[in-house]
Amino acid sequence: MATMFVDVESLNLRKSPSEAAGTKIGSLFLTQKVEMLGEEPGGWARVRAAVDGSQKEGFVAGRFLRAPETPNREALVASVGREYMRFDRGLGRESVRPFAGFVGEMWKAIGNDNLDGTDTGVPWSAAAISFMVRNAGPAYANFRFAAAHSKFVHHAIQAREEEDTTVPFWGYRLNEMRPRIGDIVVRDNPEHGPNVDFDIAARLDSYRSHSDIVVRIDSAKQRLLAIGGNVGQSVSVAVYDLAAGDFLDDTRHTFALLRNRTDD
Amino acid sequence: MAGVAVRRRGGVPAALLWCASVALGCAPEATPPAAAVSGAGGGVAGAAPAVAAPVAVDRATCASEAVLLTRAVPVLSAPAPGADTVRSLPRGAPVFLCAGRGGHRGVMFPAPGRRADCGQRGACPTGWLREPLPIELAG
Repeated sequence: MATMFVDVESLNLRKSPSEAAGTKIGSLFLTQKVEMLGEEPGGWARVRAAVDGSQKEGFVAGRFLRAPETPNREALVASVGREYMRFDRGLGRESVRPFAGFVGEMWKAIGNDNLDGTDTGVPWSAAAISFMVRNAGPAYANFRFAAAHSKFVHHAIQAREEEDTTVPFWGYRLNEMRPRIGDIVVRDNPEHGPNVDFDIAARLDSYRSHSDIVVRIDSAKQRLLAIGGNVGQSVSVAVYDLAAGDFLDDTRHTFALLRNRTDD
Repeated sequence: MAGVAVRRRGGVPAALLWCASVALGCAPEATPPAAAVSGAGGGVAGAAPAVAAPVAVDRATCASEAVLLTRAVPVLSAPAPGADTVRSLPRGAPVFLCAGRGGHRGVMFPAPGRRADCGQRGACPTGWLREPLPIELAG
């Protein structure tokens, strides 16, 4: 019985291998784990998965499932998936309870007891990334947990230059490494000038930016999906363009890839 | 402000000076704490320290997003060495940076127990911090 993961934002679970009306028995969501019970004709897969808190067996279109990545990468994606679901897949707004309280947990996890999550004037996206990475397990203990993306981005670039193998991420230019599930993609925040690029990020650790954790690579559509905090005032999915060869494109002011090296 | 102990300097209640300086949105919680400390440059013991008149922060210049303090700091009523301390902000507290003057930076900050949405409401207490600021970005 193999483990697989949902590789699309929403996937119907059906009681029979058919798209006929009345066969849907539940919905599965991006990053969700399923147990593969068998393959059926027509590309259907028989699976067991959690639906609304209970285990159900049924059928899904097999092309929307993916094979597992390495264990620590999957641990990070599972952590990201928990937050994504906790924020109602991007529908839970930051300033509304209980979601504000979840943001408050993120602040406390990086040592800030002065913010409770109702602080809409304080960007919390880096606190969210730090929270999700921390909850991915001990392999990520040496992450530079911080209130600003610039801190852990700079740390990852420096770690690579110094060949520090104790840290979970190394920073790369977009044309140096193809993104994989479990990596972190970094972009500038153009609302706050001056513009930041990889060279600036290598030298400085205090500037406005943003990052998200990669959860899906869609080569056919030349894009990837990544989940981050304070995206649409929630924990939500962001889309990044891929360039030729499935490298990250620099559209959206993307300038770095933090490669997950926890399973190297 | 009943019940709030006010440190007097030169016979003028510091709280009144503070509120006069922030007439736009001066909330009760913006009054000085009971144990307000002297401003910098307090002078020799027994000598009357120079009193800096409160100066209002120009709220129109304040940023819409906050930064975080990396250590506790006193908030002053004016951008001057002899200014009263009107509050102490703890490490990690959010502040919205405003225009500076004379080696100080104007700031707006949420009152205790209030949401840090000063960028939207604009009715938060204000004051002055000495440069360089012990701050870090968020986001």
